[in-house]
Formats: sequence, C-alpha cells, structure tokens
Amino acid sequence: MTRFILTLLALSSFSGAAIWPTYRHDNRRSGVSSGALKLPLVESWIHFGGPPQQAWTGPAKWDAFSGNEGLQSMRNFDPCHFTTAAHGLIYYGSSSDNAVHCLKASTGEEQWHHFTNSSVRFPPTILEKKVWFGSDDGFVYCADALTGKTLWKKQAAPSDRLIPSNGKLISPWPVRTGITIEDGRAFFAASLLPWKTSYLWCIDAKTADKTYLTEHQGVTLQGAMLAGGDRLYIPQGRAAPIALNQNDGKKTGTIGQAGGVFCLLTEDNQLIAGPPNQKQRDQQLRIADPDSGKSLTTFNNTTRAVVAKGKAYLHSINKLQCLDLLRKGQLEALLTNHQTELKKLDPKVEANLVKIESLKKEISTIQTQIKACLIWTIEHPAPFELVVAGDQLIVGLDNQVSILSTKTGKSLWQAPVTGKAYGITAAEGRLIVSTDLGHIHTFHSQP
Amino acid sequence: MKPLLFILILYPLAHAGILGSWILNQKNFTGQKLNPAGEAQEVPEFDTDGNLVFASKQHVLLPEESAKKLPLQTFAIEARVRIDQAQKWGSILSYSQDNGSYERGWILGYNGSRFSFRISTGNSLLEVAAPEPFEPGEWNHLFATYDGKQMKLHLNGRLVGSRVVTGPIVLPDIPTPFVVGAYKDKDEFYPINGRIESLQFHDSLPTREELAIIAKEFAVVPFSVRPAVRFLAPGKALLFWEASHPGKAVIGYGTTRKLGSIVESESEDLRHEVILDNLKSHTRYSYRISSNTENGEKFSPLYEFDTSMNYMPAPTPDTDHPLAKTYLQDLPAQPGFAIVVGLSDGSLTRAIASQSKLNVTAFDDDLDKINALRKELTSQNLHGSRITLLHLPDLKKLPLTSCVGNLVCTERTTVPCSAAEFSRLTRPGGRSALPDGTLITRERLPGSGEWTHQYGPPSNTAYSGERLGGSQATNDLELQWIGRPGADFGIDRQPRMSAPLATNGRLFHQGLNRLIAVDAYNGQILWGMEIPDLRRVNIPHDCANWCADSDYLYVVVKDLLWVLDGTTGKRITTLKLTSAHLESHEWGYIAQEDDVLIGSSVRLGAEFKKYFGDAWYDKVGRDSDTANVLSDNIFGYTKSDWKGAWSYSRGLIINPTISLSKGQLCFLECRNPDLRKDSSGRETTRNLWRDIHAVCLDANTGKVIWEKPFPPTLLRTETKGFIQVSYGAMTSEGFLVTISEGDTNEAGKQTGKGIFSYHYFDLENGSLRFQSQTPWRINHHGSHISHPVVYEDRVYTDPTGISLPDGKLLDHKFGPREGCSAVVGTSYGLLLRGIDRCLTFWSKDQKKPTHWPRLRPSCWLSFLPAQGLFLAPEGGGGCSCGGWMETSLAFIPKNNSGIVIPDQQKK
Repeated sequence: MTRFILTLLALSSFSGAAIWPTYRHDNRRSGVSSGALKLPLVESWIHFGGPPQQAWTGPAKWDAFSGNEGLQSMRNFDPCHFTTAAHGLIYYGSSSDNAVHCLKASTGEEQWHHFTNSSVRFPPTILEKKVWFGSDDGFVYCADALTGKTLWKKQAAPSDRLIPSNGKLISPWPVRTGITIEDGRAFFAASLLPWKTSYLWCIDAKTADKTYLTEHQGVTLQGAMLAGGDRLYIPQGRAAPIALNQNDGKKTGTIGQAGGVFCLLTEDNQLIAGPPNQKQRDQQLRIADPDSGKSLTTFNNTTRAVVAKGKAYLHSINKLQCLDLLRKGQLEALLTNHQTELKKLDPKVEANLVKIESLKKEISTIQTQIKACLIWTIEHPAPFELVVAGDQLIVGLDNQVSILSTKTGKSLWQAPVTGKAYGITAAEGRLIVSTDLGHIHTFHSQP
Repeated sequence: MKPLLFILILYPLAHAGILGSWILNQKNFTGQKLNPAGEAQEVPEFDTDGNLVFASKQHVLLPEESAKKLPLQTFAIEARVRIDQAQKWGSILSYSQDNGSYERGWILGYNGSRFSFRISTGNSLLEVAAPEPFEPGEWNHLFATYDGKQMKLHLNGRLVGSRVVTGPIVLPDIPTPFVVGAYKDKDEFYPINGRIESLQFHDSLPTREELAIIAKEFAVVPFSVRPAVRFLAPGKALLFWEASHPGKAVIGYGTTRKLGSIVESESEDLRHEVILDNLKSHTRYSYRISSNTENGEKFSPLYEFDTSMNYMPAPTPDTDHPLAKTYLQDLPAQPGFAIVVGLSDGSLTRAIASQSKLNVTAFDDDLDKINALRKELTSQNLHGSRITLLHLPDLKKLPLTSCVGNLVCTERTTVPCSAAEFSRLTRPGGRSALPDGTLITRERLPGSGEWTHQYGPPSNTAYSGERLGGSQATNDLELQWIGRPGADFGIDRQPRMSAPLATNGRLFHQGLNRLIAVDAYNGQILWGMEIPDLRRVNIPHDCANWCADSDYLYVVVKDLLWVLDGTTGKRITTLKLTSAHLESHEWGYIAQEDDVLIGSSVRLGAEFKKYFGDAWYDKVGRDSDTANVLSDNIFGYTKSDWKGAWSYSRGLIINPTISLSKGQLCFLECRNPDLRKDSSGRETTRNLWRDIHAVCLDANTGKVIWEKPFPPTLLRTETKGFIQVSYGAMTSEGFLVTISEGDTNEAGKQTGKGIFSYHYFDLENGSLRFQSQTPWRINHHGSHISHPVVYEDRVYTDPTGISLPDGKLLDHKFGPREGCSAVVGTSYGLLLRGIDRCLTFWSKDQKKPTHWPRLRPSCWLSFLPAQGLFLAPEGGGGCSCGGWMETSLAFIPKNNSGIVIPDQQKK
C-alpha cells in the first residue's frame, strides 16, 4: 500500500495522468502539457512507420530576383508521423500507408490499424474512447479507440472523385485540417483548390449528424485547425489564416499578419504564426491579434515557439531563450501609448516641454524593462519542435531530443533519435518523438 | 607552357605605343620597390616562377601622376593574370573612386568570378564583363580597350564583351591611388588573391591580327567535364560525364564541401560513368571530378546535386504471375500507374509492381479482403507506396479521373466494370488488359497537340493545334493531377527559361540546373537528372536549349547535344558542333522535324545564364541584358543515323527568329561583315540591323530556297528608335517576322512608346506579302517583348494583333495580360498570366477571361496546352510575394474527365 501511495504521489508531481489527446496537445495547438516527465528517461521501443509522404515539397531555394535567400517552408504540416496518446495507447496517422495505427505505449506492439483510401496527415483526436481522423480521400472517420472498429465514416468532400497526386490518389477536397472537437462538436474542412468551393463542417461528434456546413471561396484550408474563444482558425500555407465563428461557421476575417502552417494560440488567444509571405529575409514568427489581424510582436530568425504560463520559449540565431511574454506585451502596449502621446506633443510649444521630457524618461525606462523580459538565454542549435511539460522544455533536434529546465534553460536530459525530431508528445509518463525519417521513438521513466 | 609564357611576355613589349609596362616578377623588385616605379605594400613573397604573390593585403602602388597622364579616349590595357579566388570587387589595375554617386576613373578586374572592365565618362562606372566565369588558378590574358565610342573586353584574344559608351573617361579629382592587385579608393580596400605577371598600358587598340595571335596561343583546350547525375532508385544515382581530356578519373563527393567519399571511374577515355550508392534522402551533395591527364592532375569545379529530386520508385520483392509479363510486355519501362479493378488474391497486383516501375492501385468491393491484403503489404512496408489497395463498394464505375492508368487490368476472371470504363481509365498510349488476354492500346485524345519545342511546334506559333476538348474557360477544365515537381525544383520564377515540352504522354520540365520527366496524364515522375551546365535563360532574346520528339529529348549541354531516351533519361548519343567551331563555340539553336535535327553554333559565353539579382531581361531599350544572341552557323543532322548532313554559314543568325516547318528553315541573318568579325555573339548595336536578310533554307540539304533583303523597319530608323526583340514564326504559307520596335527622340531618349511590326514573307518565293503594326500596350513586365501566338488566320500580340494573310488590325483585344509570362493558344482561346497575375484562359468566342486563383506561372512560359491537357508544371514558387500554390498540375477537359461533377449536375 505504501508503494501504491508513493506512486500516486509521484504521478501527482509528474505527468503520469496527463494525456495528449490531439495534435500538439489541445485545440490551441499549444504544445503544453501540465505535468513534467520523471527523469531520467530510457528508450522503450522504436517503431518505424515508413517514410512520411508529404503533401508538398519544400520551398524554392531562394527568390533570386529579390535576392531573398532561405525562404520559409509554409506548408510543412506533415513532416513526420505526429502522435496522440491516452489510456496506455499511442496513435498516429500515416501519410505513408494511409492508415491510423494504434500502438501499445508500453511495448510498441500494434493494437490495431484502420485503413483509409489515402494519406492521413494528422494524428487522430481522442475523446471518450473514440478516435476521429480525416484523410486525403475526402472522408472523416470515427473509430473505437480500443479496437479500431469503424463507428462511422462521413464524406466531407462534395464528390467521391479521385485524382493522382504524388503517386497516390486523393480527393480534390482532402481533409488536411485534423479534427477539432469542442463541446461535443467535431470541426474539419475539406479543401485544396482555391478555384473550387471549400467546405467547413461542424458535426455532432457522437452521431456525425450535421450541425452546419459552410462554403468558402478562394481558400486552400490546410494545416491543423485551431480553436480558441468562440472562433476557429485555419491556416492556408502561403496565404493568411482565416478565422471563423465556431457557432455558425461563417468567416469572421483573415489574420493578415500571419501565415504558414505552424500556428498556435496563446493562453489569451493571440495567434502565433509565421509571416503571411516569404518576403522576409529571415525566418520569422509573429504574434497577431485575431480581432484586428494586426501584428503585435515579431520574432526574427525563428520558426518554432511554445508559450506556457505567459512565458515564451523560442530560438533565434544559435540561442534558445525564455521571455516573459505577458510582461513584454504589457510593456510594449504601454510603450506604444507613450510614443503615440509623445508624437502628439509639439516640442515647439514650451508648455509641452516638461511633459515631453517626462515621457522620454518613461519610454527609456520601459525600454529597459522590456529588455529585462528576457529571463534566460543559452547557446543552442535551432529546434524542429518545442513543447512544454510542466517545468520542462522538450526540444526536438537533428538526431536528438533533449529536455531543459523551463526556469533556467539548464539541460536535464537528452537522447539520440533517428532523423529530425519534428513531433513530440509528452503523455502518461512517456516521451514520444516522431522524426522525418518515419521513426517513432518512445522513452519512459526509469523504474 | 614556358615557351608560351615567353612569347606572351615579349609580344606586348614589341608592340608600339606602350605607355607603361610592369612585370611583377622577383627580378624587378628591390626589396618592396618595383622597378621602374612602384612599391609593394607588404613584404613581397614570390612563387617558384618568381611571380609576386598577391595574398592577404599585398598590393602595389604606382605613382598617381603616371595615371593622370594616361590617355582618356583611346587606349588599351593588357594583363596576364591568374586569379585564385573570385570576389565582388576584384581589381587587377585601377585608378578609380566609387563613393556613392561619385564614380570616376577605370578598373580592369573582375566582378565575382567574371573578368570585367569598368570606366566612367562622368556618371556611373559602366561595365563590360565576360559572360563565363574564369577558372580559379588558371592563367588568362586580358585586353581591355576604349576608343571613345565603345569599350571592349577581350579574354585570351577573344572578344567577350562590348558596350557603347561615348566621351572621354572622367578621372577622379580627389587624391586616388593607382593600384595593382587591389581595389582601393578613398574608403574602400579589397586586395585580391592570385598572380599578375605583367601589365601594359597602350595608346592604341590591338589589331585583329594581334588578337588572333593571342587567341591562337591560348587555344589550348582547358580541362572541362560536362557532368550529370541521373537518379536510378532511392539512394542510388548514376554520375556520368564527358571530359575534355582522356585519363583515369576519380570523383570525390559528400554532404559537405569537404566531400569525403571517393569513387574511381573504370574508364580511361573521355566518357565516364560511376554509380553512387547509399545516398541520403533529401540531402544536397557536393562533388568534384579529378582526372589524371597527360598534362597532370586536373580538377573540375565543385558541383552539386540534390537527392530531394530523387523520386524514383523503390523496387518490390520479386513476385511472379503468369499474366504480369504479358500485360507489361512492350509497355515503356517507366514509372506510372497500374489500375487493377477487382482483386483475387493480390498476386497479380504484386507481380505487376515487382516487374515494373508502376505504382499499382487496386480497387475492390470486399473490405475484409482488402484489409487483410493491406495488413500483409504494410508489414512489408509496401502499402501506400508501390502498392495501394482501395475499397469501393461498387466497381462498375470508378470515381477516378480518366486517362490515369499506364496499365488497366483486373485480377478477376471477368471485368467487374464495362470495357468502356477500362478504356476510360487508360491513359493515351497506355494499355488495358482484359482477362481473356486482349491487350488494347488507347489512342491519343482527339484534337490533342504536341508541344515539342519552345513555342509548341518548331514553327514557333505558340499553338500546337490543341483543342482542349473545346474548352473556352477555366470551368470547362477539371484538375487531372497535382503534385511534384514543387517549388524546390526550379529557379524561383524561372527567369525566362526554356518552356516545358510535352509529347508522347510525357512532360519535360527544367529547373535549377536540372530537368525532370513527368507522365503528363498522372503526374508520376519518370526520371530526373541534375546537370550543372544545363541552364539557359533570357529565351526571348535567344532560343531554347532543348526540344523533344516522341522517343527522345534533345538537350544542349554547352558545346554538346545530348540525345536522351524519353522513357528512362538514358543518354543515347552525343552530337557535336561542326568542326570549325568545336572549341570556340557552344550549341545554340536546337529543333527537330521528321528525320532532320537542326543545330547552330554560338560563340562561347554568348548565351545567358545569370539569374540572381536583377536578371529579369525585361529592360526597355538596348541594354546588355536585352542583347540578341547570334549564331555563326546553322547545320543539320539526320536522326536516323545521327550523322551530320549539311552546314550553312554566311552572316550572323538572330536566334529567336529561327523557325522550322515542313522542311523549310527560315531566319533573319545580319550580313554586316564588320559585325561578324567583331561580334561576341551577343549584340545590341544598331549595326545588327544593317544589311539584314530573311533567309529560307531547305532543312534537309541546307540549300538556300530564297533570300530577301529585309525591308526597312517601321518605327526604328538610322537615327532614332531601337529594336527590342525579334521573333520568327511560320504558317503554312508564310514566314512571319514580328519585331518589337521602341521609340526614341533624335537625342536617343525613349518616349515609352513602341510597336510590334509584322513582316510576312511568302514561303514559296520570299516575296513580302505585307508589313503592318500594332502598338505596345505597356513597356514593362514582358508586354513589350510579347511573343506572338500565330494561327493560320490571325496573330495575337499583347494586347491585340492582326489577321492573316492580309495583316489588318484585329477588331478586338485579348487579356488582361498581367505579369511577365508569354501567351499560348488553343483552338478556342488563349492561355496567359492574367487576372490577379494568375493563370488565365481567354475565350476566343466570348472574348472574356476566367482564371485559376493563386496559380502563378513563370516569368516566361511554364504552361502549355498539349496531349489533350492543360499542363502547368511549377514555375513561380520562388516569387516570395504572393500566396501561390507552388505546385505542378494538369487539367483535363471536363468532357474527357469521365466524372459527373457537382457543377455539371447543377447545370
């Protein structure tokens, strides 16, 4: 009994009970799990899911005419077999063999697989012992999470037409948004070609009954859908993400200062994403206000970030850093106000001089305070993925995964993997790492 | 080599009018002092030949007073140099200031890896540069000249660049160093790495005879290779090359510039092949070839290939089935799709995959059977790549677009759908195999055209007769396939590169020093090749570097023509230039028709290759980037035996005017004798348009059928205006020359206006049927260099055109044309870059455009109607500004797609 209690205590301080039910943990695609992993970890098993067959190639080598080198990849949403995990089972969707696979977390042994007629590019979403997933075949599936048995299958595309694409057959309306489940409703889109109507579905997650279906013109909805507040956000790759009202599926706007397919919503529902085009000479992430679509902050030379409890962890030019994002945002807002106020004051008017001087001093102070928002910074190679588990920052690298302290950036643990670690899942005491070569490495705590 | 050095050193000294001579040899140094006047700025180091080593910060200062005394209007600077490292501000000898807008003096040096000569006549420093990069470590002879009217640069006795400039050179009026071996002015200092053996400053220009002597001395063929990498299977590639010198060769290659792996070629002659195995996927490799020649060990430049472009299918385990061999017999051994309608035990499906390169997709209505087979295949990592099984409840009609299968068959004893459905699923040229052993090859789609040359047929009409099933709008077409190649394949927006080609069900496309063959009907990559020397740009002022027929792809690689097998990419043979031009020229024009293959010779370095920066080739007026590329001769081969048949050489042939149709070969030729002798192979000069002739040859014999003096142009005169571009095209009755003429005032200032002038010669006798003109719409974004779309009864050139055969102005316009692309025609409309700068279909009947949002073509021609399809391989993904789809795709007319789609249901 004592041992059992100790175990429970251990689970309460580490993340033994935390599941990872959807792509990047939650519908904000935050990549943040509440509990830490108990270190050190040892490798449990490696599963090979076949080389991922990505929907799109990489970007051009450069925009030679503009002298713009190092263009960002803006549609790299399926570089590996991303995983979800719950109840001792690990799931992934395969762009390689067109199936969703369920593996036993402790052994890697395959429990079941569920084939579709084309690539599955996002891991299934798990809820109440069911899994939901979409496929390039234009269908959405719901299966029993324990057996893989089909519970229902729904055609999201308006026709069953199939066309060749990179050696496979796909629907001209593939489901490449993943499945987002909120309040018992499942959301997904069937979309690819901007000259064709795209479809946003909202269905009852249990029965597959349609709640609504909205049509959208001139869009290509690809990349994991996000949900926050009363809105949905869907990336478009080389165009700005669109925002939709969750309740009726109507488009509320376009987030003009965002782009790419790496998107996440912060705890206060601000959108972190890439730039809307490739004009920038450096890799870039921006924080955009979903209401105004305006860019609030820009981080240069970075492609990945994770935000937890108001702290942002991101990489820039050989350095990994932790920023107090909340404080930085408040100070930047204050700075903007002061600067606006300062602009309004005519320095030729003598009565303004005292106020101008005061504002300048305050601006200087705020600028110093903004610099102090950098909590720590360490020398570090550029990551392919960043997630947070409790007080641990988990970093996916080339042939390596490592864990750092979120408080100090100090290295806590690391292990080799085969390939570039694009996918990280921290669930139920395990670390699951997916690489671009199709390998899934699973690590568990040492007994 | 020593005797040659001796000759070269003595030769300039013997030349009259030498104003200054500096031999930078140990013998002429006393300490840091250079005799007769000059001073090394570092302690001098000398190599084993006694040459001063220019490295680190070493440079030599000469007395500034002597620079001021040099002539400003007629002079020549001669140098013999060896540059060891390319750099942006490379200066061999200079007296110059470049401080913002204050640009004065002159510089003989190099810019990057190209020798250059820069002078200022008061405004900016104007440059002529060698079109080809120098080889680091190789000795070269430079002669830079200026006569107050034209600046020229001769490399190794050969003219490599010239430019019209007027007036005396304006020297700096602030203290300026006169420097050897560095660029140095008020605030800049860029020393060089290499050797400068000798420098002379002459007060007169070298004669042709003097240049010829130098050219003869330097006519030693430099070591070169023309390599290519052809992907064979995942992780495996064939590297082959043709060396200029025989000898045992070794290749070093690796994922960094340090290389690492070494493979030896077994050949000791000129042709080499090695297999590279265990290559990493999605990795950029560097390689260098070294050869042990009789002149010692020689090294190639460092080349690259990228395994991201390796799309070759993985082999599957050997499996046999009695029918597989029969079904596959005589089918081209290329990747593609096999469609199996109805399974038995999966063994035929496996055998087809095993014995071919086809991706096999099998449909069946029994989900349990499918899932059992899927599980088995997945355990062998086969499912989803080479073999894919799909469940369909009803096999009578497959929801698959038409014309996909290279092979369509069933595992069952009876066909589960109709024979018509089998046929519908089969691509033209593909095979449907019935269970009773009947094999049926599908005919080509009715009304489909062949796009075998840059502008469709070799007659350059930009119209291949393609009917596109009667389509007139984007909504009449349905997506046939989508996918690779993607944006990583090309040169961002493909800066006026050669157009893709499509014939015999294959689509060929060029990218960044690479080419790829794609199944036109299902998008499957057939083969790919990385060729460092492939690139040619600025096609509007030149001609394409490839063409195709139903069997072969003909690809120009420097001075050679590679004949590649269309099915596999394997090189069948290599053709060479005519003997007089073997070492001095490169292969220019290429076209084929029936048994005739036509080529031409252009001077070394005349073709355009630059694509980074401002290389848009769109400027208005006469400019070095808008120069015409010219051929010194044109010749014919016979395809049946790959033997040379004839050669024609008289004047300078303007490459974009060369047209071939029904055994007649037409072009414009400049017979100005002075120009021919002096030309670098690229011309902007007015002299090009003096003594012009329209010529028609018999393509089979090279004999002149007719030749006519070209009539006066309609806008340009001897004193004003300019020719922007000229194109040739042929109808069944005439040779149409379309010239874009820009307007200037008498002072040479552009007015911004211009015309397309049309000159139509009777094909039978060369008589001029008419001359007419239409005005430019705008003078930018390619509008003023529009290539015409030529039908038998009309010609379109942005934004309108003329009727044939009378030359009258059309009563309508087409468009809107936006962005830089060319325009091509179908029987019912024009395809262009139009609305929102996206691919647009303009209906000839409706006179209205419709477009495909976010599909950006290239900045010349990356789309074509052929094979019954509208093919649009990726062309603009690197244009970083827009929300482009960055993908290749093909459209099929709805009435051929076989699928009832919602839009049609609504109708």
